[in-house]
Amino acid sequence: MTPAPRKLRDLFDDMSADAPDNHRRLAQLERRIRSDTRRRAAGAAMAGVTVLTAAGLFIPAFLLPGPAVSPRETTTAVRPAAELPPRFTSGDGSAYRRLASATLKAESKGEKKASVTVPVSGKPLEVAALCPEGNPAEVARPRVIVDGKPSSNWFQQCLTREGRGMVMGSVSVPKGVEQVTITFDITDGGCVGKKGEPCPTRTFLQPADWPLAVYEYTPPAQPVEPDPVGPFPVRLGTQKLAGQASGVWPRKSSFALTVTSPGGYFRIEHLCTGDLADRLFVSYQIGDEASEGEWACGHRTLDETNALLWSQKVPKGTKIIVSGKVRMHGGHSNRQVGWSVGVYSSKIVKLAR
Amino acid sequence: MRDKSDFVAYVEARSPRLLRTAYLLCRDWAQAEDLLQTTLVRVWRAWGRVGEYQDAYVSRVLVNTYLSWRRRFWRRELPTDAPPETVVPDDRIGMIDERAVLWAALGRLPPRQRAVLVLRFFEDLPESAVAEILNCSIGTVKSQSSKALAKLRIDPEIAPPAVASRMEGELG
Repeated sequence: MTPAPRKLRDLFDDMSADAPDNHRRLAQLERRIRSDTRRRAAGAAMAGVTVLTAAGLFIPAFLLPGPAVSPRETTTAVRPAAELPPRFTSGDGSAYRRLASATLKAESKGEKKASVTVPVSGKPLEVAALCPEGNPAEVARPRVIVDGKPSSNWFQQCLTREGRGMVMGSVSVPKGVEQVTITFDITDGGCVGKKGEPCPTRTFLQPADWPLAVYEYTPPAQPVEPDPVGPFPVRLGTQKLAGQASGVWPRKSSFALTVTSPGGYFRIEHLCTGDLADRLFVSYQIGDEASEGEWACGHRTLDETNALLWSQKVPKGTKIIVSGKVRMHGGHSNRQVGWSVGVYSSKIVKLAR
Repeated sequence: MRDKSDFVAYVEARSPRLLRTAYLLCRDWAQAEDLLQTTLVRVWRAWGRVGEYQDAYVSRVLVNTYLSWRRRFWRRELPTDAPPETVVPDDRIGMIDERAVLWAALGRLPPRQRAVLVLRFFEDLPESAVAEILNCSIGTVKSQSSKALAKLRIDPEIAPPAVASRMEGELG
């Protein structure tokens, strides 16, 4: 048998033919939109922006026919500053000084690439951006090129910020140089073609302005202790805490927990504190199977944590080792980051998202 | 800019079909409903900017939401997936078994390859549209589609019985 396209078409048609009829979908959708609006408004308020309109005004517009109202206009009025600050001190006492700034305008053909040359004094360099408003998946992010070499920094944190403030990333500077040229490039929607492949046409990308800057910073003279990471709750919905480990990078950067299965599934949560929590990445291993890739820890709460689900059922009573490593992208050893990992077990699986 | 009342009309008209697409991606009706509603919430937020190509936009959000969920799983298969029935050589309803093993084999494909097949062969989208939805080149769509079909062909569980017997004989 070969799965000819016709067979696939028939199979897809048949297998999906018995779709359950959900008469309550619109009502459920309304609740979700209301909840999403509240959550986003709360997030924006926490980030120091002004909530202009109560979330409740959002839903009637959804239910009643009427003129279009932009969701962005109804939830927040976030206007990023025109440029990034010339100087500031981070929470852990690192003193930042802006060396250069630039702005890319994704809707303008002539301003999709900008280069700045800055002196290298020996202090760590960082690039900064103000995340633009809008759905981050629909906004092209600038790639960062250092002396002609693409950097891994791509302002990935903007994917979870959605127009909420400044994000920063480390820049690796070649040894011995006195100056370095940093290019911000949003050409082709920020696409980096693989193996010479042309970049795809992306008609969905929204125009966005990117205020950008290069900073150098003076790290704190002594290691700064991050805030302690709160303990994980013993119960999280249907899940029970099976074990937890914590540490402070760079003093501790790995863990191994032995947990006993209740006859179900494992889920892992991680939480971090410290100014550089966004740049701390965790990789996991359950038994002898490693996770693919690593996960940014970030400043999340348990409600929005990027949980990992081990979707293989583990027989009751089985002892299994859950281990992991934490790795800092850039950073400085005096800028410590607290991390904590909680392993939960459950007899049923809930989709992690 | 689109009117919000269009959104309700769009949901009512298109959600049954979108639910089927979501099911073919997740293979579980409850998760498919969750995926569909999560997608529609995201679409709602951008509805004023969607323009005239709603279907392409919604498909893109749906597939990307699905792929972002899947990236958080270590294993490709959900434990709710029932294991495929073993093919019985003298089964008189072999056609049904053949489809069952093909369905199971589809479930073992990497999420992105499965998405390519669903978009190509259920949504009947041209390669260029699939490329735009998945944010990749047409060449990548072709190669992913080809790899997926090749995997289905060589999947041991869907090898023709004669081949399976021969392999067992050689091993024995």
